[in-house]
Amino acid sequence: MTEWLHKSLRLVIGIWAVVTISFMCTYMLPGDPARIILGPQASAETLASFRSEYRLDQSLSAQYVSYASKVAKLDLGESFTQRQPVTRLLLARGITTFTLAISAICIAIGLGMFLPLLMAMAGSDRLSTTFGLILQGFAFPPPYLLAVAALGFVAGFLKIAPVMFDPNSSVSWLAAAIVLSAYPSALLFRLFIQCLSREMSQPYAQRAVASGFSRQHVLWHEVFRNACAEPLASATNALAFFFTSAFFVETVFGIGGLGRLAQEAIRQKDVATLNGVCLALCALVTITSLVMDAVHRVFFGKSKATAR
Amino acid sequence: MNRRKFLLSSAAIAAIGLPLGYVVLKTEQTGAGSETLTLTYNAEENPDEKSLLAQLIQAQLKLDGIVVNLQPLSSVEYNDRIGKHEFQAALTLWYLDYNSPEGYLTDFYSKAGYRLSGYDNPAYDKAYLSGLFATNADVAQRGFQEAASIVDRDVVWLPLYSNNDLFLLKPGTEGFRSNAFQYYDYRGVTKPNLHVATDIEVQTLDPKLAYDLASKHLVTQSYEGLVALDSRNQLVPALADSWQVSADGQELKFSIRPNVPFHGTLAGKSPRFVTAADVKASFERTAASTSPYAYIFDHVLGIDEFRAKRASAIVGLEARGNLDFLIKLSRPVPAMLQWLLAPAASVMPYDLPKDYDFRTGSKGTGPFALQEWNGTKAVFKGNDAYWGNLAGSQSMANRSLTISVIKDPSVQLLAFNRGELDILNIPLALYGAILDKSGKLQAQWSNNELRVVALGNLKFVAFNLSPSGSGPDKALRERIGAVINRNEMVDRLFRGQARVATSVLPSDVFAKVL
Repeated sequence: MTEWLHKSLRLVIGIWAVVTISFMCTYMLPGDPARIILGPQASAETLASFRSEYRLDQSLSAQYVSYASKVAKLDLGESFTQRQPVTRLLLARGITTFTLAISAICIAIGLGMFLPLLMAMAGSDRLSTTFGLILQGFAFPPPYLLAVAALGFVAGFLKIAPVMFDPNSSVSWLAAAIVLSAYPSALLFRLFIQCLSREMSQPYAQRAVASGFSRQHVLWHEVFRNACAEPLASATNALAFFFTSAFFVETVFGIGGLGRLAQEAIRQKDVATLNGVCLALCALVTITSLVMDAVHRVFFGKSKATAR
Repeated sequence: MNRRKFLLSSAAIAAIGLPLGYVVLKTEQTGAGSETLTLTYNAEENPDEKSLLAQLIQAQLKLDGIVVNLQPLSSVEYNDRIGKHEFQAALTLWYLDYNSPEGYLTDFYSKAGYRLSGYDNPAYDKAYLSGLFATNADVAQRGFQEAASIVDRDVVWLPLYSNNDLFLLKPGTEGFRSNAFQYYDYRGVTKPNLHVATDIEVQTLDPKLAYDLASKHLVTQSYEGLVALDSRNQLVPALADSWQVSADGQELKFSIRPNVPFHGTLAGKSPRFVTAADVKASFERTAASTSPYAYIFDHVLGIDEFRAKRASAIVGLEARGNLDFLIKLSRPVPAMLQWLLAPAASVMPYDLPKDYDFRTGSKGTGPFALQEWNGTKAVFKGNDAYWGNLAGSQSMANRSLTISVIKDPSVQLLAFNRGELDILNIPLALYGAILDKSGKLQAQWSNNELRVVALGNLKFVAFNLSPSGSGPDKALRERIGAVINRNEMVDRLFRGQARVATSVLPSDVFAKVL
């Protein structure tokens, strides 16, 4: 109970820190949002009216107090460019990015953990080395280039997916999610192979093999669960990667998610939207991280002791 | 070699090499003994064109001993520096959405809101204002021509070229029309389900706020104003079937087209037809807002009282009966009709809810009604009650239009090849893949039509002439102007698909106006 209280407190402090840091960072971005958004021909009166409407004519401290008190009431303000409530924009766009990131996480777990397990059970070191190298090859190029190449391959060469992203096409989602998962999959694959090998050399696994259990049985029933603990803990730390790299994938695949919203907000100095995106990402990472912590605790908390 | 010798020789190389390298580098950067110019540009806007052009300018000026330091900046930083006049020279562009020289010349007026070059010349102001508030076309022509010649003489901007809009059209889309100001008209296309793309993010679907090209592209499919611009850049009737301008130029009278219905229904009521009251309410909505186009009503009678909230309506906007609408100006403004082309002057129902969400549908009168918008794709359905079906073309019923945002040029080309796009607006990055060196279509694309539309834009170098500015002096500006080879830019960058510009008024577009 106390631990959960501490965690909740940490969460509140973390969110407050994100609110403050994102506010300060966006405030310090160069440029006058009124001029950027209203264009060169806007009159001085229109510019003044815009600044007054969005409180840009107030002092930094007054703007911060106003913003923080609004956030406390879950009001993220109105987008400067789209003139829509930021929460409405985030909900519409956030679901897409969340779906994409979760799909990529599932693929990364499949490629990075279940595949090496199957290869270890088959006892083929050469296969796992080859596959690990292939995965690393995919992880090497920057996400943007990989996304263009993947789209060209899937939509242009194989012709199994439309070029323009279709939210109703599972192949469209799959192609985008595979690109997003390439780099974490490669890292996870390497880490998990090491963990499997380390766990197999532990006394409890050696004893099980010596007792006559097959290698496959020991890997699946004894070793797998223990080997998962470390990669899953690392995956939790890498969550932010999935959400931030989604930005590149969204641009190439034409997916209307948080990434594209953030890019435009930066370009237009749409402070309200940018702060909202920062908060949404923070919330997504925190919630997913809490869920993964809980999963970790339930499934792996005492696994090694039990197994031994 | 022992470790001591190695360390000593390394130190000796560093002691001689580093200062020498610094001197060489510094000489390279500043061009000791020669003129230097820092050329700032927004590296996020048309990055392919900007970076190639900047390098070409650098190479051309180097031949004359002028060293150009390139300064590519992000959008935010670029806008900040330009706004504060912290630049020497800026590579930029200017495009209009209406056909009047006034739009190009406003930047040099000393009392304008945004003054890129910070130019201040009373002689210019006088000539510009004589054109802006002229009571007849001849006076306006003389005023604008004189104003343009003053800034051209002073080399405030260095005009480079105006480029073309290039489209690759699949069979069945030949009826597509566009003009120098990038209004895209799909009414005449015979293909019933049309797919097109834009490479710019859409900011808004609210007509009063639509300012960027992508937003205007989408909004103008669903919303219309009193007047429109045809493919020959001429003003044509839209919701007003005729208009008259009074002899003193201070009164514009519009006759509203009868029986034009708005899309769908409002609050469950049966479809409603456009009236003069809708026009008045729409204009007042824009005038009261922080629309980028709020300025178009700056000279309407009673605007100051309305904006100061001393009046609940603008007296200069008058609905006379159902179908007559009057605009009374405080002074003659010949550009007023052109200003009414802006999407912000679109007509919407006067009883449109204040919190209407423009992303969920449309309440205009245009040829296509918005059905769906997901942030990257807009789906429109043909307006079967549309008033303006083109002669000989199919009706708008049973038609659809999809406009997707595709930012990457290679993805656009792939989608066109796969048949997912019917019209490709060819970006510069794809010129090499589609055009031969003379700017003609490569043989592999011969099944498609290449449509070339001369744009009324201007790409130029702006010099900082503000009092606090660090821009080059007139002698250097003139020298740069003499050295620049515009033909090389047009040929090498655009394969001939652009026109050399030697004045701040692009001559071929405005020749018809002036």
